[in-house]
Amino acid sequence: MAQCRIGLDTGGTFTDLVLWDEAAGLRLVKVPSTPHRPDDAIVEAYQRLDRDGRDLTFFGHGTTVGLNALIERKGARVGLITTKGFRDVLEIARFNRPDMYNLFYLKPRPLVRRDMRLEVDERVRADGSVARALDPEEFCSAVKTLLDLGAESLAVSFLNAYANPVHEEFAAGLLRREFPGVVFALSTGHAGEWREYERTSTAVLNAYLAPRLRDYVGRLSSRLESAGVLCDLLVMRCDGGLYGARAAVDNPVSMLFSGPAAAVLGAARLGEEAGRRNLITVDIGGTSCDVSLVAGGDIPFVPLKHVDGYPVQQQVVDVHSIGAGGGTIAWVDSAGMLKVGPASAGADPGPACYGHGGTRPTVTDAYLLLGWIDPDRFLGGEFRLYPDLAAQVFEPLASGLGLDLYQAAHGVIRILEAAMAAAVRVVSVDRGHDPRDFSLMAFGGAGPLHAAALARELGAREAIVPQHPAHLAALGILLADVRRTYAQTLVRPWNREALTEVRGLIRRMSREARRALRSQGFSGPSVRLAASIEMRYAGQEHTLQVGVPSSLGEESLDRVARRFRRLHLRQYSFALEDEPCEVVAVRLDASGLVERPTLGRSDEALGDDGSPPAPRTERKVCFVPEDGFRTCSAYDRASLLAGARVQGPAIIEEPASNTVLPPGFTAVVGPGGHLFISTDKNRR
Amino acid sequence: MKRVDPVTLEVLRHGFIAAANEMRINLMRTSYNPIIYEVLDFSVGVFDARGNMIAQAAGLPIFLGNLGAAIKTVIADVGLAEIKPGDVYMINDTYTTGSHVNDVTVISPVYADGELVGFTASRAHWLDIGGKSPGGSHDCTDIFQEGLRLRSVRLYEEGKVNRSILQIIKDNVRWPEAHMGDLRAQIAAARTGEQRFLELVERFGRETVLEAVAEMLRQGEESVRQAIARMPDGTYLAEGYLDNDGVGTEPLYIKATVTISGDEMTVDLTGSSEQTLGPLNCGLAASVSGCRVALKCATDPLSPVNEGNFAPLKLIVPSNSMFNVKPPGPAFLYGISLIVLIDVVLKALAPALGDAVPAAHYGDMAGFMIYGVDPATGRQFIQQEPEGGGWGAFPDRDGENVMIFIADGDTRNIPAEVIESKFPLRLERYSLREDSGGPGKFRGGLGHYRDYRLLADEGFMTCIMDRSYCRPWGMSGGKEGAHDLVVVNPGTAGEKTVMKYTGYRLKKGDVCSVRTGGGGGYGDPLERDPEMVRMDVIRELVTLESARRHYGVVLDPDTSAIDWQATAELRRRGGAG
Repeated sequence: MAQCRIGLDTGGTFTDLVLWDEAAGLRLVKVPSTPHRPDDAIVEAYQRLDRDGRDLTFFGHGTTVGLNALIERKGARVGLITTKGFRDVLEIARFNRPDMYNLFYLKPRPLVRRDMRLEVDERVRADGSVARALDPEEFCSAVKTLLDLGAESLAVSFLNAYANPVHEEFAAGLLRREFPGVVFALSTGHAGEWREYERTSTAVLNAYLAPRLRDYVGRLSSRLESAGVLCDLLVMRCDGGLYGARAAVDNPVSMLFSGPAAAVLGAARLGEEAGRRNLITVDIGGTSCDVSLVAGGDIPFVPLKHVDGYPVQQQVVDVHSIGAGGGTIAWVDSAGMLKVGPASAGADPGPACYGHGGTRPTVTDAYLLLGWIDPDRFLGGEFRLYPDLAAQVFEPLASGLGLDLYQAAHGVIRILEAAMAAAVRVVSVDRGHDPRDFSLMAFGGAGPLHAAALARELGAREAIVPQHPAHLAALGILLADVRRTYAQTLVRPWNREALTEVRGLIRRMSREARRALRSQGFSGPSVRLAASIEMRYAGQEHTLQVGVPSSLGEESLDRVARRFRRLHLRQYSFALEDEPCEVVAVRLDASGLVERPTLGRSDEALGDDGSPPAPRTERKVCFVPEDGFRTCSAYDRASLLAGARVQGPAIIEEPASNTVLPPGFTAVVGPGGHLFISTDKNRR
Repeated sequence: MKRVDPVTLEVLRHGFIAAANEMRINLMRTSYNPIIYEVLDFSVGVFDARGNMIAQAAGLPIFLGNLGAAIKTVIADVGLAEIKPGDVYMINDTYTTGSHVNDVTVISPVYADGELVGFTASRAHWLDIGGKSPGGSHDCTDIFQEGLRLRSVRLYEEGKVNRSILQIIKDNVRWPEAHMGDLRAQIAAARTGEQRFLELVERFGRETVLEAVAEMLRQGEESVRQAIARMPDGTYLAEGYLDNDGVGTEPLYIKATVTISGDEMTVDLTGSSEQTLGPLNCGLAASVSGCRVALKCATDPLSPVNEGNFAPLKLIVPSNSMFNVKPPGPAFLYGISLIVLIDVVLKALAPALGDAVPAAHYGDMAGFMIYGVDPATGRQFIQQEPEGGGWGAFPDRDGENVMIFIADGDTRNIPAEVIESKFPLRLERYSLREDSGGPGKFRGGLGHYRDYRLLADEGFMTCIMDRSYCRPWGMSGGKEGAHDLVVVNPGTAGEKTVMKYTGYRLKKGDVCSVRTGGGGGYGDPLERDPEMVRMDVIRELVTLESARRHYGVVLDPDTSAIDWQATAELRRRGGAG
């Protein structure tokens, strides 16, 4: 059967849909998001395609439903059951004060109030042995109390359950048998790593979001079905894998960052196609700039992330976000310092130049003042911009700093780019990578405006603006594999016995993974397993992840230790030859490989004469304030054929984004139709 | 000199902050002791060539002033001409850096093209630095009992390590392997900062960077001056007490006279207790830090910190004061004195800030440690961490429950699961301590119960609890919070309350219940909304008895319904207390 697939991403401002039809190619749709009923925009986007859905083989989507429910505190009323003595762990948290001079600092409010946090007298020791058995009657009576208090869902988190989940599993059995239909989450259900606060927080968030996600997925599935979509609905998770929507709702926290994860995944896949396996990805939208780093084609993961102040123990695509985007506000503080962000004008009122009542200068206003975007062609001309309003809000900022309007606008962009460069440092140099070994791929609505400048600032090899930069998250979903991840804490000195234990664990995880993937239709060569172990020097706390072969023969004993020391040297600038190391956890990433559409544009190459491409028009643009405004060419990206070469200064326009090419840069339309921008090493 | 444009300035500011943050992450990730990687009891920063702080990563406010003081001491001791590229210095000297000998600072100079442009420094709390008792003690009477002293010691000479010094340290601290690991982590962090500093110089040029640094300090000064200028001129006074000096029984007196004059602030500690026999003394540089924390909190708490913030601050301390300890006076517990000093200065400033200052927080380090031999390994173990407590109520809302004291900032507790897997201890309770929050129209935050049970055959407990004489005060009619204490074997015949003790002998199965204090209340408790009192009782934050006694609210013991008539009556009589 011909492949016909849809990838869809719900963002804060827009809902993006990409349809890939093996016969007819790609179609893109962008509709405004409907945050209070996200399924409205999804159905709307789908209906814009105006086609029969019966031949659809795949419908994958990324969602912000969970994130919105959390930020607006519209989750379920949760009851929590914990080990005797520990019901306040959720509230005490880690007791730190990140704003350390702020006398008015408030901790994140616990999502479960104190009278709905109950304790039961059970105890598992740190080595996994049971010190005191869970009394089923006591547990059931706690459940009853919580339900009577109006709990809509339950979280169960027992101390040391990471070492042995036997009591949590027993509790789950009791819940299923005695309280059928009650929604619940276990601390070891999907996380299972130590640190009771972080694990409890994860379980509580799952219970908090599960009922909302269930409603949403149920509603969306049935609306799509009645709109004619017959294939299964898949959901993108923060580990960059796709899961059946109904299975995914059991672990809602895994869907919190699905959009950014999908975008990184999309970037990695496109990069790989174009022969670029080392990428720094920079995704700039209206309010945030999300950066990540792909080394050797590998998607980076972290085991823990905070969302709105709450920790989530979950394998998450390692994306670092800062408040910097098109809507970010520029201001001058009391000591006369120019600041950009982190506050944003958001979608409403939006930047001043939108003419919707914005009164503070934003980054988009700066783009407009400098001529980087065309007021008549923003979002394909659907949306008019007003340069005079931008000038009006920039005047006071500029005069306060003793700068002219354009110096001020340009200054705002330089500061923004400095913040973005610092964010890139967090994911690159902080983790032992040198940006000079990487290509910088910039996307999102505002990414291509900064691609060239950021690549130069960081000394990256080149900048890449992919095809359809404003639809990359939706494209990423189209390119994702079905995934499962497994992890188990196992603290042992790294020796022959540990090797045997690890090997056994990997075998067991592999069996489970193959079984699970088979049920989703993957087997043989379409299943890929990657095992790794977390290691450290004995006595250290933090670990490094070391990839291991799943066979793990005797020769691996030394080989793995050597690999760990090399990693440590690269990451922290020292390694210790004689210090013993230990294993801390074993991980297995299992993928069901989806057959991937080739998205590269297969259009005709340039004519033989190699003549330079024709600009759409010319206009005045300011790239550096010293040079003032200069006339430069503006190109329509769709008119640039494979092999076309554009010399800066120039602007390359497409409906949802513009690529800015300052003087001294050259862009070439290369493999896949992506723009490859070479940085001029002689200019700084 | 040319002025740096505002944009380059901001770019450099990001660069320096990023350098400090990177140092912090590296130190955390490569260290060996939970007090560093879990608690984050350390601080890192980037400094100019004179030792002025350019940027500091989130960490401990208490090190605000004295990291720079450590660098200035090294400069004075060694001489600028003798400080060479590749050198690494160690210093933990109480009398010049202000803090206790357990705080070890590692400093490395930054040279660009043969010229000194700045320093990077990291200071971490070492669990042990030698001395008479593992981890430290409450009853030392001179510095020699407190541990190994290192002052401006050159550990690396032009990139080459001095093994003799390493040997001296190894032979004089307990748990030498772990401490050597932490030292390596500190050195790696300092080197990382040096690298980033150099990259900035390489990119923007030495002159631009130095000029930008000067401008950042000027702006830091300006923002604080403006905030001080907004306070009404005048002299403001407040006082507080510590229970004792660890050796004697008399309370120690802390008196701060704060004068606001134009855009300058002077803190005069004249009248405070003289240098004490026991270790509650404070080095002058640490006393400066304490006043800096109060100033920063009161003026410009949210912007990044640098040395310029503190130019408008002047401190007067008599030379015989407990806040200006002289050799060979001990200072292991200087932190408690400092915490109370900060709270006293803030209390003094309350009228100048339009009373926008919360009531006092639990205001103690609540230091607690257990050590002994781990039966599983046969090796010595030590578990030590600061304990959180309740914070003061605000003029318009209840105080926060269980947060770390004001001298520490982004400092975290050690998870029970980490403790139980590393040490022969079982945590049996970690929960809010009812009735510990000071009553008020807005209630002070609650402290905690944290109960450890010893699983080894024998062990020793050292605890340092204070504030029973001068409990965390309320504001505007609010009442005091509870104070810290440790109860050994609560609810048994052998129950015992302990405040300060070094090496309390425990046997297998003994329980130490660490109970921390609460914040003071704000406003008259009889004005608290009875509905809020009822919710506090339902949530077991306030007992039925306390509701009646302090808040004048009478509730039905079975249904928790408010008896409005009895409540009105009781409140008319001024409560039952």
